Amino acid sequence: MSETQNKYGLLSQLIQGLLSGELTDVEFQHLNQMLSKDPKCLQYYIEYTTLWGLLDETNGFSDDKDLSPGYAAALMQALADEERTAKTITLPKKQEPQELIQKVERKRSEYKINRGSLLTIAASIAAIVSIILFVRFAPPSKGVQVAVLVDTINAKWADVDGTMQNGTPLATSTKSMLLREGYAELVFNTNARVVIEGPAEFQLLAEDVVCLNYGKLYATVPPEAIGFTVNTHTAKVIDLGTEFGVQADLSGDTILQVVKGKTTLVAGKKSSVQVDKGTAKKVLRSTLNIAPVQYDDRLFVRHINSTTRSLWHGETVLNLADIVGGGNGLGNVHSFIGLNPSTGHYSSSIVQRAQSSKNPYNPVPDSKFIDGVFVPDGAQDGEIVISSLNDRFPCPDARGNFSHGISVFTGDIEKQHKTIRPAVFGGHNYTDNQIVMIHSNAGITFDLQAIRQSLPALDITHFKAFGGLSEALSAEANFPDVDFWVLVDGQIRYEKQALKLKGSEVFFNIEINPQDRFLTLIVTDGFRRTDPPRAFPAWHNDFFYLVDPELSLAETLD
Amino acid sequence: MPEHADLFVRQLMLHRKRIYSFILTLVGNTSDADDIMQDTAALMWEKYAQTEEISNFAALGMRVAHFKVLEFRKHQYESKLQFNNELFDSVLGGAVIMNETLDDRFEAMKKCLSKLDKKSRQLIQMRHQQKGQTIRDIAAAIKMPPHTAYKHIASLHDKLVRCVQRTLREEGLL
Repeated sequence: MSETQNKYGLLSQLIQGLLSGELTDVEFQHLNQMLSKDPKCLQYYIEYTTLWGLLDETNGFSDDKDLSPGYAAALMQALADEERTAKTITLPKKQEPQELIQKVERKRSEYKINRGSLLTIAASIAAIVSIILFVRFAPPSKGVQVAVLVDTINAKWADVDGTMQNGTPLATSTKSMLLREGYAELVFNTNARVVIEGPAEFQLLAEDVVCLNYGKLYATVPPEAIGFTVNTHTAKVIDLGTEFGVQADLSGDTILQVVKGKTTLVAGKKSSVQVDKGTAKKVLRSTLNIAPVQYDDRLFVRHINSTTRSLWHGETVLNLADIVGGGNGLGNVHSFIGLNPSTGHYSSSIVQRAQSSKNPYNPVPDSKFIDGVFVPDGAQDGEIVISSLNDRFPCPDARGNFSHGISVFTGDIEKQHKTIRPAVFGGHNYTDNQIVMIHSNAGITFDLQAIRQSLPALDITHFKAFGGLSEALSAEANFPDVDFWVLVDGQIRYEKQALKLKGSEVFFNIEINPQDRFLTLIVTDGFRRTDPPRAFPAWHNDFFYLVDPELSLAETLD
Repeated sequence: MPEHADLFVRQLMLHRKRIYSFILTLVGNTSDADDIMQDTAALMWEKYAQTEEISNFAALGMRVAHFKVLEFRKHQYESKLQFNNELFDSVLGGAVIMNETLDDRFEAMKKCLSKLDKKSRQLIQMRHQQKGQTIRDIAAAIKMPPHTAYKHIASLHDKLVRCVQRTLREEGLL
């Protein structure tokens, strides 16, 4: 007998002993070692026990019936009982196993079905760390609603009967759905959430199985939906409590990227591997081999919001310059955009001459994230309105005039607007950066709540930036000097008063709390009643810059 | 019996061997697998009674079965005869893949059983017909020393496993 035959002969006996409860500790450790060290032995174990299970369930295939009559009768009896009281049906007791070889005592239980002992289903199986969901057995029923379309951005569908609006129920079907372009977010009955990026073709097979023929799909799977599965032509991804993205190419290759938790990736019908957070794998159609690939944190759109036109790829910062320019913070400013603090309107030009504002506080209709803008003037009654909820701030006497207002830009600004100086700090001209310019006297208030609501389960944790009065400003008699404030809900979180060219840098990293509503930035002209007369108005040449201002994000803990 | 209960029983009977084989591979003991199968069926009935519509019965069964196996492992964690977590995860992954070809394996198993001689087939049936029957009982019935019967039955199962592998390969299913 060959060595291989000996090995599997021994393995067969050990497995049989294990199944029958007749294995000693030493024998079990030996079996454990064989299965842990040799994948072929592990495979053999799985095939052996599967076969054993089939034989058990068919009584050794003695009567060609797939069920144990005793069990079925008992089950039906139990199910037919009334709900109120539990009945115990005792079936023929198993014989106590005789000792063949030295074995460890195992607990035996009575073979019974007790309706009263049925457990209330625990909806959450979040305690399960590694669980498998796999399934593709009998084809699922067709036409069963399994998901709802909850949001789309620029979505164009092909061959769709009827409209595809938010709230449209989606059912299992043999027919594929084709998203020609754009994005669609689906929520399944299991609460699994999926973002599809077109062009994509996919099929809903069950409430927890999607077939992706080609395109990109990102799945966010809560604990109660663990086991959510995505099939492609070459692979099967089984969720083990996670967030993951799947890209299926037209060539048939599949890329899996796991952002959180872990999944099982099955290539073809043979090999499988567990893929953990922060890793990516590729399955080639030609070979069905699984190979590691570069992980790209921004490869998939994870969340969409059509109201704010947000496509969130997992960004952890928001670009405040983009928000000042009317965006959602996930993009970049590419060209000059001016915002008039006395009207709340955007323009590609700027107000160069001094103006005053008729309205104390102006909403910005073209931005969902800016609560309002204003021209601070503390001369009137000592306090100015800084939010739509009438928060007030005791601003210094700022004359109420402004020029240039608020703007955002990148690149060489002097080529775009001759009167605006570039942002120069420490001798470096920040042309490659996102710049927010606030010329006195102007203020802007951001609605943090609106920003939070546009993002999935994320909190704003910090606001940070650096900047000040640009070194490119002329240090002539009309020397610039400003007061700068950062307020949260009307309370000062950062201030720099009497900021002049020398020592004018500001740098801050302000903590933002979940309950904070409004973030306000104010630049005033630095005028003091005790100042000597000036050749130029106090608001002249007051170009204040913030370089790459950003809001930091973190996942909500609850 | 209420119609929906009848439907549930039919579904369970149809998919029981799939769910049971899955459980048995994970726990490696027929007695424990029986207990877990009962608990799984009970929980599935509870779920079924609430919704009366399950798009994939077998999938639900596998999911619930796994949940029950993990519960079992938690309670039995002090038992020495239990796979460690790493090995368990590997077994789990393999069991899932194995289940995908269960129907093919079942057909192959029938063919392989038919290739056994009559006495060997009877021995297999004796081993599986009554789960509680011991090797000693079988050995007595066939007038063989228990240890020899033990090895012989193990050898028969090994033959069946290799025959099923060969059959699936020949049919291009592996």
